[in-house]
Amino acid sequence: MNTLATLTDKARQYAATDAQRLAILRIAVGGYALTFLIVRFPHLWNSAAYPSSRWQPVGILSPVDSAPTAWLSRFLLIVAIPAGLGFVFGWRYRISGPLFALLFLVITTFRFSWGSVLHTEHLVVIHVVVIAFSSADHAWSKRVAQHSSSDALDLGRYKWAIETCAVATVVGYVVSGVAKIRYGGWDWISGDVLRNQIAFDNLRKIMLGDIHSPVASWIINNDAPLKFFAPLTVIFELGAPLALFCTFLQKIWIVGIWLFHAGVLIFMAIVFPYQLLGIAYLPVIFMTPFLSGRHQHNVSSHVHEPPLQQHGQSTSN
Amino acid sequence: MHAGMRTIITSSVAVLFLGVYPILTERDSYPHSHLPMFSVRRTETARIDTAVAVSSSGDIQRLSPRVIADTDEVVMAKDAVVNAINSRSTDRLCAEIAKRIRSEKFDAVHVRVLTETYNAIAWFQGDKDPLKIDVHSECVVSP
Repeated sequence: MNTLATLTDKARQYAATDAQRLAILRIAVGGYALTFLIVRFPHLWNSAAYPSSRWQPVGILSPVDSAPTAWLSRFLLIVAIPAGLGFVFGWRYRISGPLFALLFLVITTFRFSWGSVLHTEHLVVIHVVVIAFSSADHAWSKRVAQHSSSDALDLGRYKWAIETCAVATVVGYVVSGVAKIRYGGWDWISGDVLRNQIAFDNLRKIMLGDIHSPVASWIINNDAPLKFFAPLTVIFELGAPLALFCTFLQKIWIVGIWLFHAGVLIFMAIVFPYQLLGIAYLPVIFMTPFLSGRHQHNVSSHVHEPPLQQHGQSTSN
Repeated sequence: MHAGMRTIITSSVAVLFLGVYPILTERDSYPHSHLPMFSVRRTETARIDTAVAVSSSGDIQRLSPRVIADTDEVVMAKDAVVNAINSRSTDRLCAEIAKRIRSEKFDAVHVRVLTETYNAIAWFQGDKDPLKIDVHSECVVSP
């Protein structure tokens, strides 16, 4: 807990202004999305040639009755890489930002249109879209010197994107918590459903020739911790919005929800990399909690916000 | 526009699009979803849709997601089998798997697309026999 407090305080000190915090989000979120495309490039490339019988479009591709031709999907994938670099480095951001967001949305939607919606990229794409349409290139970017110093005085120019990303993060957990109560009922909170879920998920992995958790058998046969962690999970999910209101609750929530994802990895061999790397929680760390001296922060940020040209100079030093 | 107003508008859109709309419609789409993972009221009984290879000696070989559905995602492999069962197209999936098996030089003579039912808790306590096996399709792996 103290370590996290130190880390979050250092992060806030390192990025003292909202422009810098938003720039860090641009680099971290964009860097994650770009890395995702590069790492998953072979899979995405191959999936373009799946048999059309498997095509079950979702999201923005719902109106597309038949699978797009392989060359079109692969062309968009290739274009997305330089657009992603532009996004991360803030180069021609007015174009590269929205272009990368659109391509990332289309490519990941395409990925989930083959009969299976995973839930690992939902938050990433929302963050990418929000940041793409913000002024995230006003610090630590290739074009930083072009922006006028008067931009820095418009604090809302940066704050809205950070706060919207933070809201998107916590809303996802609330939705997930509601689903557990709605479909799993009180049995979920008792830990029994969670134990069955861990057993089912690992058994399915074994039957489908995939890697499963080496400690699944232990937790299934020693399920006392699950009776504690199951209700705690629901409390942390449904209580996620509290992290937006007070610094103390914010830190507790981030630790708790990160441990939840660590538990999912340990006992179910399911990886949520965006959450485990902590990038999903950066907007929550960077926003000023609604009940934590918000007015005071605004005033101090206003006074100390350096002209944007200085941001560029400071990073080049 | 006032700084706070921008946050209020965009955050409200996020809450409506990512929170209220998916919860009300119960749609598992992208990027909006009611995020149903881990929430199903699972019992100890686990029905698992999968595909296996049968060797010349009758041994069952488990197949990887790559062989089953040309993917490295286990959930996508599972969904490929589930969707084939639901759309009564398991013969086609079986033939696709047999084709992939040929290219990967498995010692297999048959492919079976099936649903296996286990007591999942008992399985991890040592009782690994299935309660039931439903074979949807069986096809030959030609040499």
